[in-house]
Amino acid sequence: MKRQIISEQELIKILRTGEESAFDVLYRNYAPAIFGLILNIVKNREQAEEITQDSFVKIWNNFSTYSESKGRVYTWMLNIARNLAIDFIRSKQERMSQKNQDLEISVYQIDQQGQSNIPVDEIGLKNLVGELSVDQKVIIEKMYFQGYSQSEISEELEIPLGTVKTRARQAIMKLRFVFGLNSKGGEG
Amino acid sequence: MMLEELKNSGLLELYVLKACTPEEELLVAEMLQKHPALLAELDQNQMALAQYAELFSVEPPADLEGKIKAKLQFKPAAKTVSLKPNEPNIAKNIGIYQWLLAASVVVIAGLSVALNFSVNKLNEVESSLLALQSEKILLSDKFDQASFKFNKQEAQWIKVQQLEYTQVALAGTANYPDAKLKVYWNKKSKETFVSIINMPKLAEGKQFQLWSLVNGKPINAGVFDAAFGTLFLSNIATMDAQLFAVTIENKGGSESPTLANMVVAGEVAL
Repeated sequence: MKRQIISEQELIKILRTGEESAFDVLYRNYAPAIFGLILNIVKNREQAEEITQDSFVKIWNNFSTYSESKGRVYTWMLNIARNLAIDFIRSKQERMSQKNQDLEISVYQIDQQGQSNIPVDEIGLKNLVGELSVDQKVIIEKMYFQGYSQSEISEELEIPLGTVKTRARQAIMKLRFVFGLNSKGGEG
Repeated sequence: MMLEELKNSGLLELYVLKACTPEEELLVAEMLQKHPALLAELDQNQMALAQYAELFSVEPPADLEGKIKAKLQFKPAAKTVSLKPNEPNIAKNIGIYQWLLAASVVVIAGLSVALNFSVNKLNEVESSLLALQSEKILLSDKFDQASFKFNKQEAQWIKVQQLEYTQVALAGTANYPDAKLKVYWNKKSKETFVSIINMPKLAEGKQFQLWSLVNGKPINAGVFDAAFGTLFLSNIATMDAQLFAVTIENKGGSESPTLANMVVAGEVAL
């Protein structure tokens, strides 16, 4: 399966047709990113496959609710996938803590299961890993991939809330810098 | 909240990272409505994170697409109509057109070189600006952490200091019953400082003046304005003091204390 280059406008246009060929384009272009994102959150292949299915079903069935004013369609799709995956790990943590297990332990256990997650773009990832500081990576990981709140991070890392905020800003600014996204908008 | 304030607050980044509190989320949504320019900023943040997430891409198993399709409904495909481009009429004046075309190619090539150059310059400037901003945040982050640590240790620090320092509590006089102040000094290092706990408001042109009484003589130990806080003194003629007092004097201090304006006083325990 090869990813083809397609603009946002083109994608929106064909998705609005509701045709099977539109789904093929959607899946070919975005399945690896969505599956990878979910896998990175739930750290379990089987569960990631389930949630990827749910995500595509939701994207397809709810596409009529998407509008350009909500931002890019790609971001909209990633949000759907990310929210489903975070909801999943959160309810899993709740189930586990009901069994008298400490939240921290369950998070740790989930981390331990995450060994199978080998990124496709490993070279790109390694290069970027060098660009981001450990603090920045940890902030993105905890917030975006584990769904932690600011105060949870502040407590766990023993840093003040203000520092959590500045690190988040710093991390995103670094990513913008690394990906050559300037402050004027556009693809950069 | 002002636009620049929001941009620098980290809220836009937290919003993208899905870590805003519900109140913060409302605030960002409100600001986005008021300032459509923020949308571009937010879009860049989202793209940055999306591109980062994309690095974790993993090819899903081959059978997954089929499983998903089985759960979906599709609309029948519409018939496609292909359009043929109109053939332009090129029979006449072909020589002139060729010449004009060649000329315009030269002009366009020149323009695009110039444009490309300016765009590159612009990108360079923007990149270094971003790098600078990022550095600034790094510094404020470090400062934030340092002051956090400092606050934590401050209470402990004062305790330690109190053990080494002799302290004298100065109580309010009849005219200023609520006034209170403490003088600390270290007999070894000869450091002296004043902890102002509560002092009255000063009238225009007035200052507090600290006096130490040594062998019955009042000696100037410095002037200050603050109604509370900590004050380090450089005048160390206090080592053999038996008594401390603060009076209100004209700005700059007096040579001898105006006893009617005494605010606090306290004896040194021997």
